[in-house]
This record gives sequence, structure tokens and C-alpha cells, in this order.
Amino acid sequence: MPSPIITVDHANFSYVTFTKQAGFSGAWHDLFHRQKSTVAAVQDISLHVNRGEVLGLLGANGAGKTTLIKLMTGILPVNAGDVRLFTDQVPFRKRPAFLQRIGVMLSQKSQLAWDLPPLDTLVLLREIYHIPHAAFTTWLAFLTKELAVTPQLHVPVRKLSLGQRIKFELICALIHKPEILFLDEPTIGIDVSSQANIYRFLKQLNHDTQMTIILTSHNTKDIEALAQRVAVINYGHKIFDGTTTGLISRYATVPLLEIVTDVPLEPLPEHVRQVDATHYEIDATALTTLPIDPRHILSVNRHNGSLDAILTQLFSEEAPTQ
Amino acid sequence: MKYWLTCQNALMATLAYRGNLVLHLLMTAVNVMVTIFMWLAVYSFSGRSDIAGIQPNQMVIYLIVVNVLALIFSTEPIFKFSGLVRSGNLSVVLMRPINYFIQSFWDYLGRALPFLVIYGLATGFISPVLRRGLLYGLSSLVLMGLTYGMFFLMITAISLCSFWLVQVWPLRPVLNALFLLLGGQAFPLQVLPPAFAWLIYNPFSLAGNQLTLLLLGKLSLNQILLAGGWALGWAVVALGILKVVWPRGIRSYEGVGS
Repeated sequence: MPSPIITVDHANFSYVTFTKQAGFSGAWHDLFHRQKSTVAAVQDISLHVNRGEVLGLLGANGAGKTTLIKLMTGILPVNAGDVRLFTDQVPFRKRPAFLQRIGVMLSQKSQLAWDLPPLDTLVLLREIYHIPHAAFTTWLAFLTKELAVTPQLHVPVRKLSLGQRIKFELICALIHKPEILFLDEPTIGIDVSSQANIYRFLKQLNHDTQMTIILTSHNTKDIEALAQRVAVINYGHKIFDGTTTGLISRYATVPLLEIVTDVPLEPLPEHVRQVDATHYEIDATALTTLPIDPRHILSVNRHNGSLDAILTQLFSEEAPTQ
Repeated sequence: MKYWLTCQNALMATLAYRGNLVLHLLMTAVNVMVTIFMWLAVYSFSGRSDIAGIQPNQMVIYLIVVNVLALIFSTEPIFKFSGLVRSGNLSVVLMRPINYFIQSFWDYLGRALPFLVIYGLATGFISPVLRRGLLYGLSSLVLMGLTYGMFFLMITAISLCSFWLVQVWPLRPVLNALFLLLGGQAFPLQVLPPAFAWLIYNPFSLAGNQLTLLLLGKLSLNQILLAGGWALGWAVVALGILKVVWPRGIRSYEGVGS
């Protein structure tokens, strides 16, 4: 069995933050006696990712998923434990040979020079990554065509829409054909059709080149569309590691069907609870067939069986005591 | 090539905002005029034709040159680096297989290029520097290069305080005042009493006062060598600070934001 391309072994990371007291007296007090507190952002997380895998990191705001990406890319050092990429590379050392093999897209951090067209930044990246001119031209033409931003190559970044900028950020992360691609919120601010375009493109890339992709997103559509495996991070702990279907089957406890009809049901069938005029709920464990005429059903959804519903339930749980 | 492209991009970014560039030059011109009129008033009211051996016309030329130099020796990298740390955008830079300091130097060079061209043309066509023999000319060019590198290292070393200070903007007026007083931007340091003569070898003076005197042909070969020695010394000090502080800073960096 080949060794994993990413190995995170009992990684811990904490940072010091300050709390400020309210009011003038609080500000005066803080001037001399600042209250420090340590926040454990990542706690004893172990993770193995194989070459060619697409791993989705899920978690609420502040859960620690972006910190985990920062540990894997070498932006932050681990306080305890170990992180290795490509078997023997310690990310925090940031050896050029290591950086050459990874691509990072942090959605709220830009690689693009604000006042210049994206092409200028990309040409600079061509030189930084020592990409041959012919290969660069071909690859860039392919990327811009796939992401539908060819006409914007010569437009100053400040004039681009958010979606176009995000697409160029993705191109910047991919321009040197990295072996591992880290994507932090890759579809933030992007319209639905562009999202679908990005999903299709990344899937194809993963299939054709065996590029390993690590992805964080609040948008469960991103994860469902791309990730073969998910790791759920909550309060710095890894609470689940497996497939999306595995996550759903493990946490979907109440199989409740939500049904919307075109007309009110008269009389109300047994085991059916009316939510409003044409909106009903049925406990799926109580019935083997639906007691509603299919001609009147507009939609059926399994409530608490969707990733969104499960994550909402998981993330609303209390923080574990430390 | 990658660093040359960085320089080229920095130059293009500077030229992208033509209005800002023109306004910046205009503001500098107004400041220079104010300083010149102030000095001409001093000459006029004192009734003296020279102050510390400097005649009014020499003073005017000195003030123009030293203010062009102040444009070249910008302290902007401090605030740029602070912005990178505060916004967490330093993460993007750290993820590239490049030397941040070398890239930053070429960026610094690119932004100062229009003013460097002006100083270079003045050196080539107006100044006697290149007409005093090969050794003098070469020594002068080495001093210019050395001082430029030293000043960049010095402000880069100062910029590392951004790892621990959330806001570094209070440094801006302090640095402006230092260049104004210690760099000789408001007056030539030669007007100070002899007890303060040692001040001419501080980093700001080397960048302002000494390079202006060099352009005006007022430095002997020995003085050029002495200034070069000091510039080298300051560069070594700044490099030492960078070597010690950068690893500590990068460990304390949290890559804030997402």
C-alpha cells in the first residue's frame, strides 16, 4: 500500500489572544494588565490523505479547519505532533522544492496584483515556478477556457467581478500543476453556474492528473460535489472521518419526510402532520408507502438526512470541556 | 528573471495611478519650495552670504537634490509589510518558492525607478562625479549602490516589528522626522556644531546628506570610502537583525483572517 501523501499525526496548535474589558475603566485597566488567554485551535488531530484523494474539511466558523490547512501548508508550525507531506517534507520549513509541489488558494487572500491585469501576476508566477514558456501558454489557455475567463486576462484586477477574481486565484494556484491543491472556500461569492463549472473542472483535473485536493467550505454543495471523503472538525477536534454518505447514515437519526403538495390534502391521511396549507411532515418509519396521491406531490425531501441538516445539528453541540 | 518581473510590475503599479504620482511630486515640490524660501529668508535676515561655508545658490541645489533622494529612499516597505501581516496576506507570499527579501528589494527598486532615473541623469549630466577619473566615478557608484542596499535592509529590519505591533502607522511621522532632521532634508548637517559631526554617518544622513554632497561633487575620495564603510557597517547590522528577528517573527505570525 503506498504511503499517504499527507500525514498529520496528533497535531496541536494553539494561539494566544487578548480579552478587552468594556468601558474607559476597562481600557485603562487593560493598558497595564492585559488579560491573555490561550485558544486551542487544533487539538490532537490525526489525518492521512492518499495521492489522488479529494478530502473535504467541514466545520463551523472557528472550528479549526483553516488552521489545519495552514499547518499542512506550512504557514503555521505545529505546537505538538507532526505534519509531513510527500513522506518526508516538514511544511513549516518551506523548502522551495516543497513549495513547488503544492498549490494554495486562500479565498480571502489574493495572489493577484490589484492594479495590474491577471496576466502580469501569472507571468511572474511562470518565472517563480520556472515553467517553460510553451507549456505555460498552453496550460494557461486551457485553464482560462475551462473557467471562462479568457477575455479578462488583460483587464486590471480591480475591474474584475468577485467571481472572476476567484477564478483567477484558482488559476494562480494551479498554474504550476501542483501535486497537492489546497482550497479554502473556493466558491465564495460565485454564482451557481460558475460553481458548477468549477466543480466539473476540478473533478476532471483530479481524474486526469491524480491531483490531491484538500478543500474547506461552508457550502455543503462544494463538498458533496467534489469530496470523496470528509473530515468534520468541531472545536479543534476531528469528530468524523469518512465518506459523505457515511456521515449522513451515521448522523441521520430521524427519517422525517417533508412533502409539498399543489393542493391541501382533504382529509388529512393518518401519520401525516400538516405544517401549513400545502406543507406536510411524515415519520418515514411509520409507513411503507406514501398515503398521498403522487399527482399532487410537488417535492419530497428527507429532513435531517441532508448534509446541511446534519452539520447544523453537529455544529450546534456544546464545546467539549477542556 | 522573476525578480526583474517583480521590479517591472512594481513600476507599472506606480505608473498605474498617474494622478497619485503627479500629486506626490507636486507635494514634494511645494515642501522643497517652502524649505528653500525659509533658508533664503535666513540668509537675507542674517545678512551673511554663506552659512557654514554654504552659499544660497548651493543651498537651493542641495535642498532640491536631497528631496529627490527622499523620494528614492522611501520608508513605504515598512507599512506594506505591516499590511501583509495585519491582513494575513503574508501567507500568500510565504507559499511561493522565492526569497521574500530579494523580491521585496526588487519591488522597492521598481517603485523608486522613476526617481532613480532622475537622480541617475543628474549624476551623469550635471554632477562632476563621473568626470573626476575612473576611481572616483566607480567609488561613487559603489557608494550609491551600497547606501541604497543598506537603507533597504534597515527599513526591512524595522518593518519586522509588524509581527508584534498591530499598527505601525505611528512610525510614519517618526521616520519622516528622522529623515528631515538626521537625513539633512531640512538643512545640511554641516551647519550643526562640530560636536555633532558624527551624525553624518547615521543611515538617514548617508542616504540623504552624503549622497547629495556626492552628487554636488563635495565629497573627497577619502570621504566616499569612509561613508561606504559606514554604509557597509549599517548593512551588516541590519542583516544581523533580520537573521535573528525573522525566524522569531514567522513563528509568531498567525496568518489572521481566513
